[in-house]
Amino acid sequence: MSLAIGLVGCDFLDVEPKGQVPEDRQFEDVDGFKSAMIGVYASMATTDLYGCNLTYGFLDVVGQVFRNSSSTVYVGASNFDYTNQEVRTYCNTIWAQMYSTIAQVNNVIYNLDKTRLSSSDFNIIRGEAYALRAFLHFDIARLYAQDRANYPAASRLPYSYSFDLANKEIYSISDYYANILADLDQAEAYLEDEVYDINDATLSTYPVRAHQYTYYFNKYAVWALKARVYYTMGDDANAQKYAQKVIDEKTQFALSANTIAALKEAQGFPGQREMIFGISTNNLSQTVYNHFRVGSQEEYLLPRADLKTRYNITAFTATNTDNRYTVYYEESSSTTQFIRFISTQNEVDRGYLQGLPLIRLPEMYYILAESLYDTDFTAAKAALDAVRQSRGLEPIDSTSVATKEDFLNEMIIERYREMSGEGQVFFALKHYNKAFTRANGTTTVQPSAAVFVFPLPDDEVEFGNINN
Amino acid sequence: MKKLLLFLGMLVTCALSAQRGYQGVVTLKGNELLVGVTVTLKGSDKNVIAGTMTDENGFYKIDVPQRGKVTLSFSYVGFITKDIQLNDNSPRTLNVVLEEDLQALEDIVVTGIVPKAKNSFTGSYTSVSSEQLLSVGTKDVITSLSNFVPGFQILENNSIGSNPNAMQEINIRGRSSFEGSSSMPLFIVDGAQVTVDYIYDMDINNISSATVLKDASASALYGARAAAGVVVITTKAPEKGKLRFNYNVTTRISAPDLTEYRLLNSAEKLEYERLAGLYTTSSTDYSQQYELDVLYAQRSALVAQGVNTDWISKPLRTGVSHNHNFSFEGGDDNARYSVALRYGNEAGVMKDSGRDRLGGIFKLSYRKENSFFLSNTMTLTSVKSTESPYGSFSNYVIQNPYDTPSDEFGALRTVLSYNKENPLYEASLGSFNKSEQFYFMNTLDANIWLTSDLRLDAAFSITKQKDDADIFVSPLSYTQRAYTLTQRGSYTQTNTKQLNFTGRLMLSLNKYLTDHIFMTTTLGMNGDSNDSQSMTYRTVGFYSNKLDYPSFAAGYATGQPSGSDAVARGLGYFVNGNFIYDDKYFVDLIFRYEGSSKFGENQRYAPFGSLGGGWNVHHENFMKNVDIQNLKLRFSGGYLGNINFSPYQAITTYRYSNALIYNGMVGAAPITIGNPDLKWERTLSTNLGFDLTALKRKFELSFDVYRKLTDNLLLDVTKAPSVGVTQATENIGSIENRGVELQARYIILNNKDWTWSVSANYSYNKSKIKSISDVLKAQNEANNNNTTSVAPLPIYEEGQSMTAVKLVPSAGIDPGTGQEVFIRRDGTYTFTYDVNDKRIMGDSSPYGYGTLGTYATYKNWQLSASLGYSFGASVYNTTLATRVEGSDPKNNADERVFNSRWKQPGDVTQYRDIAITSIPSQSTRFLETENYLTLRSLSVGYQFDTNWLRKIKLQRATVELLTNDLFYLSSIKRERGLDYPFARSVEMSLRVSF
Repeated sequence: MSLAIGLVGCDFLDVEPKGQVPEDRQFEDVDGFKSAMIGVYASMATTDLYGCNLTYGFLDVVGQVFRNSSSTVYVGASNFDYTNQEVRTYCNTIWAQMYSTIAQVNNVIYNLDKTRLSSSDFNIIRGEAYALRAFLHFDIARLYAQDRANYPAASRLPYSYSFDLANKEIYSISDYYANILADLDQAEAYLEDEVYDINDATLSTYPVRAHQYTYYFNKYAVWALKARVYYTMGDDANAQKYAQKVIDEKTQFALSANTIAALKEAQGFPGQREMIFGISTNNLSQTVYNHFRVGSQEEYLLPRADLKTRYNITAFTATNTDNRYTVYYEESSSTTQFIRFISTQNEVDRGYLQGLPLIRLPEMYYILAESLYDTDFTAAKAALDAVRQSRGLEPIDSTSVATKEDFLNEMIIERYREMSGEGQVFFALKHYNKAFTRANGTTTVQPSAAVFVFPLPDDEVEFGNINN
Repeated sequence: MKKLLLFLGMLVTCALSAQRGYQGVVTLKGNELLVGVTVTLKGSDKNVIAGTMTDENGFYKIDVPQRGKVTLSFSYVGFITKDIQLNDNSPRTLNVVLEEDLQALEDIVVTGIVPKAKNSFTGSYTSVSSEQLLSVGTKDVITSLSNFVPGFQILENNSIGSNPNAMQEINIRGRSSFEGSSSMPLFIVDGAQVTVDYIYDMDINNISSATVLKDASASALYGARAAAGVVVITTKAPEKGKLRFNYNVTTRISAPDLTEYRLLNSAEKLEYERLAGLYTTSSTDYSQQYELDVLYAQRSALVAQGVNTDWISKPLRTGVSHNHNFSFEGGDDNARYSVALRYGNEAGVMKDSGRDRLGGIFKLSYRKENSFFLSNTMTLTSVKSTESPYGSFSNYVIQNPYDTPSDEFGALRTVLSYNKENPLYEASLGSFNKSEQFYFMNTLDANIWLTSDLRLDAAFSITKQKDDADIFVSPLSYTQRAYTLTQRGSYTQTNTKQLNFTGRLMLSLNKYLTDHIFMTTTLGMNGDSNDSQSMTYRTVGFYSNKLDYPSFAAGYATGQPSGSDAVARGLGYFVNGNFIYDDKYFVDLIFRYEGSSKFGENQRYAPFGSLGGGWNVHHENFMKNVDIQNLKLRFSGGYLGNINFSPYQAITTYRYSNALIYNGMVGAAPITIGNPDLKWERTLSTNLGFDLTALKRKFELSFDVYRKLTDNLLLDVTKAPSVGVTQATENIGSIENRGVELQARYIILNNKDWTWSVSANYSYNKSKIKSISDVLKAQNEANNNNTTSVAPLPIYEEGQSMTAVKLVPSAGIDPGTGQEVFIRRDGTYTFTYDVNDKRIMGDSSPYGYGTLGTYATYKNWQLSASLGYSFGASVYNTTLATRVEGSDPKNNADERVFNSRWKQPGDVTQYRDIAITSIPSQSTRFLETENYLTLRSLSVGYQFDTNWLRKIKLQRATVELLTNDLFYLSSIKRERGLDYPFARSVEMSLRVSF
C-alpha cells in the first residue's frame, strides 16, 4: 500500500509556484525556448550591460570617448582608478550580470540538448545561443584580461558552460579564446542554412529572419564576431576572411550613401544596411538624453576636449567634410554635445531611440584594412577609403599612412570618429596598446595592465576557482 | 495491566440509628495509603448528598443523613473511581482499595497522532488540563500555558505590550534559527495543524488539555515539522448523559500599567530645555535671542498657570472585556454530541483597540464498543480586530506637558510645540486599521478495531482560513500633506486565503508478545497540502474622511498590485514500536520517512526518527518499602526537522516580466539558479530526565537535561559571480541549544477542609552558534559597525551565544567634561568611541526563568497564585539610551534626564552632559542585569454548595475572581510597552452547569 502511494507521492510533491514557471514547464514547448531567448536579449539590453554600461556609459568613459567632472564613478573610471569603490562596484556588476546572462544562455542550450521536441526553429535558436555565449565571453575577456594578441599568456578566466551552482572551470586565455571560437563554429554551423532577408518587411515573431533579424544574433553577426575575435587574436588571415564574408553580403549590408540624411539613418538603430547586430530597447530614450543633453544630471557626459582636432574640422572643405561630426555632435555657443542617438526632448517623448547598435559594417572594413595592410597596401587603403567616402571624406592621403605606425595611429582615430557611443573605443586602445591622451585631450596615458584590465570581483577571487 | 481488583470489606458492628456513618481507610493495592481521595455520598436518585476527603492517614469518615439505599463513590486522579452500593444493613466500616487507571486521560500522553501510555513513554513533555489553564487566566491558551511548561518561553516584546492584536513569538527550548519565524513550535488542534493565530483565538473553556512535546521521542512522529517543539491541543469531547448545559461568563477590567513611565512635569521639562540650551543661541543676530527669550517667557507663563498636560493618559482607557461560552452536550454510550458557542470581546487599554471573537464548535461521535469509533468536529471562528486609531503610544510619551491638546476654543491643535504633529488630532481624522479573520476547520476521526489487538485509525481534516485587512489613511492626515489633492488619503486592502488538507492512516497493534513483554506498534502514513494566496491593492485620493471605502477613491495607486501564491505539500510514512518488559524496562522506536515539495529533486525525502528508553524503578522489588510511588528514568535521542521557510528555493523557476520585453515580445528569465541539493534542516535532539513521585504522593519532581544540535540550516552564501548568481541558499548554519528544566510540586496540606500545594518550575537554555555563512558574517560586520541604531544589533559569531551582547566597556562619565570615557582593548582610556573596541559583555538570555505557584482550597473556596521570575539576563536598557541620554530636549523625557545628567564641571554623574542630544554610543553603561518577579495571576474561587444548587436546578456553579499582572518588580528601570502599554487586569468568571 505504502509503495503504491509512494509512487503517487512523486507527483504529489511536484508543486508549481504561481507567477513563476518551473524550469521543466518552461521548456516543455517551443514557445518556452523562445521566451527564454527573448529573456537573454532583454537581459543584455539592461543598463547594467549593453543598455548603458558597456556602450555609451561606463565603457566609453574608460575608453576616453566622453568625460564627466562630477560623478564619482565616471571621474574614477576616466582616471582608471579601479581601487575606487564605486568604480569597482560597476566592474563587479558588469562581471556578475555578464555571467548571469551566460547562465541563462547555458540553460537554453542544456534544455535544447535534453528536449524531445523538434522544431524548425531549434537550429536558429541553438545557433544564436552558442553565438551569444561566445559574444559575452569575448567581451568579458576584452574587459577583464590582458589583450590576447599582445599578452597571449597573461590571464586566466572562467568559461561558463553550465547553469548550476558549481564553480566554473578556469581557462588560460588561449584556451578561453579557443572556447569562444569553438562556440562560434557551432553557431556558424547551426545558422549556415538560415536564409535572412533584410529587404523582407514582414513583421514576424522570434526567431526573426525578415528585416528585423539584426536585432538578434544572426549568421552575419557570427561572421562579424569571428572577424572581431580573429582580429583581436592577431590572426590576420581569418580576420580578413570573415570581414570580407560580411562585406560581400551586398544584398544585406552596404555602407551609407554620402549624405548627412543617409548617414543619420545608418549610424543609429536599426541602422538599416550598416548594423549587423544591435540590441532593441525602447525605454532608453530618457536615460541617453540625460547622459548627453541635460547638463544638470550627475551622469552628464561631454565629448572629448580635443573633439575638433580629432575630426580635423579645420581641414573641412566642400568635398571633404566628415558628416559624422555633424550627425554625432551639436555645437552650441557654450558647449558641444553628443547627439548621435537622441537629440531633442521631443524625440524622448516619442520614444525615438529604439535600440543601440553593437556590431556595424564599418568595423568590418577597418578589420579588413588592418589585416591587409602588411600584404596588400592598396586593398587596405581602399577598405579604409570606402568608409571615408561614405562619410563625406576624400580618400586618405597615401603618404600619411605610409608606415604601419602612421596607419595604426590613423585607425585609432578613425575608430573613435566612427564608433563613439558603442563602447568599442576602449577595446581599440587596449588592442593597439599605445600611449593615448585622455578625454581632456592633454594628459597622456601609457598602456599598461593597470589601465586596460578591469579588476576581478573580490568574491570571484575569494570564492571562485581563479587561484586554483 | 490486568490487575486484580481487591476489595476488602470489614465488618464491624455499629449501632443502628437514623443517623448512620461510614468510615475506613483507602489504599492502593492494599498497601499504600491514599491521601486526598474524594469521597462522595449519593442518594438513590444519584444526587450528591455529602462529600469528604481522606486525610493524611488515608482515613475518611462520612455521615449519612438519611435512610435507604445510598452509594459511596471514591475517586482519585489516576485511579478507577469505585462506587459502592450500601443499604441500611451494610457494615459501617468500609476499607476501600483503589486500582490505578491505566486508561485514564492522566495516564495517556496525548501526542495528537497516537495516544501513548504514560508508563512507557520515553519523551519529555508537559500536559496541562483546562482547569489548570483557567486557574491562571482566561485570555488565551498560550499565555496560560507558559505558566506551567518549563522551556516554553514567550519572548517578551517591549513594543507590543498588551496589544490584544499583536502576536508574540514563542520558543520551546531556545531558538534554533537565525530567523524568528522558523523557531515557532508546531501547533496541532485535534490532529490538524493550525496557525498560532488560531490558538490565540481559542477559548480555553473549550479545551480539554494542552500538551507540549519537547524532545525527539515525544515529537518524532511529526518528523520534519517538529524541531521547534509541538503544542498539541485537544478540545473537550462530549460526555454521555442527559442533555446538560454549561454557561461560562467572564468580565475583565484592564487598566494600563504606567508605573515605569517617570516623565518630567511641565516645570521640570522647561528647565531641562533651558539647561539643554534650547533658549540660547550663539548667533550674533540679537533678534534671534530675543525670539527665544519671548518663547521661554510664554512657556514659563503656561507653567506658572499650572498647565501640565498628562499626555500619556490621553489615548488610554480602562478596557472592559467579556467572554461568553455557552455549550450543551449529551448522548448515550454510543452516540454523543456537543455544541459550544462563544462570543468574546476583548478591549485593549488603548482607546478603541480590541478583538472580537465569535465561534462555534460542533461535535458528533459514535462509538460501538470493540468495533468502531467515529467522531467529527467542526469549528467555525470569526475574529474581528481593530487597532487603536490613536497610533503608537510612544507618540504621546514624547509630548511636552506645557502643550495642551486643544486651543482656547476647544478645537484640537494640529501642530504642537517644535512642530510636532498632535497625535490626538490624527486620531480624530477617521483613519482605521482593522481586519477580519474567518476560520473553518473540520476534523474527522475514525477508529476501527479489526481484532481486539489490531486497530485501524483514519483521520482527515480540512482547514480554511480567510483574512481581510483594511487600512484607511484619512486624507486629512499629516502624512498626506506631501501629496496632491487627488492623491491624499489611501485605502489598502489585503486579502489572504489558506486552505489546508491533512490526512492520516494508521494501523496499530497492541499485544503481549510474551507474558512479560507488551508491545505497541503503529504503522502509518500521512499527507498534507497547504495552499495560500494573498493579494493587496491600494486606492488613493479620498475627498473626505467620511468616504472611507475603496469605491469612493479617485483611483488606484500606481504600480503593480502585490500578492503571492504558494503551494506546499508533504508526505510521510512512519513506524513506531514501543516495548515494555514487566512494566519496568521500556524502549520506544520511531522511524519516519518524509518528503516535502519544498525541497529539490535530489533531496526530496529525508529520514527522521528517534530512539528512547526508560526504567520504571518504582516497580523493582527493592523499592517496595521505599516511600516512592513513581520513579521513572528516561532518555531519548533522535533527528527532527524544520521546514518552516519559503518553498521553491530548490527549483529553478522562470519569471515573465515587463522588464524583459525585447522588440515587442515578453521574455522569461530564471529568478535564480535552483539548488537541487538543498537538504532538510535537521535537529539532533537528546534528552535525559526522570519523574519522581514520593512522600506518599505529596512530592512530585520532573527533571530534564537536553541538547539540541540544529545543522544544515539554510543560509545565504556568497558565490563566485561567474557561477551566474552572487548568492545562493545552502545548508550551512549550525546552532546548539543546551538546557535544564525542572518542575516540582509539593502538597503541604491535604485534609478534610484544607488542601494546599506549592509548585515551581525552572528553565535554563544556552545557545551556541556552531557555524554561519559568510553572508551572515558580512551582515554581522555591518551590524557591529552600525552607530545609528540605539540598541546594539544582533551579532552572530561562531562559538558565541545567539543572544550575546557586544559593547564597548565604559569607564563612566568624566566629571570634568561630561563626556563618556571608553576602555580600549588594551585597557587604556579614551574619549573616542570605536566599534572595534566592542567585546562580548553579556548575554540577554537569563540564567533561569520560570514560575512559582501555589494552590489552596478550603472547603468550597480555592485560591491560586502564579508568580513569574527571571534572573541574570543582561539587557541593554534602551530607555536609558533614548529617554535619558540620547533624549531630544524637544521631547519629554525620563525624569532621570533632569536628576542624573552632568550639568557642570565637577558633577559626578552616571549620564552625559545634558546638552548632548546625539544617540549615545553602544557602551556597557546601559547594560544592566535584569531580575524580575511578576505576579502573573492571583485568583480566588468559590464553588457553590451542591445541595443548595439543586434547589435552583443547577448542577454545578463556581465563581472566580482573578487578577493578571498585578505587579512587576524589576531590577531595571525602563519604560515598558513602548508602542502599546502593558495592562493589568481583574476579572470575574461565573461557570454554571444545569
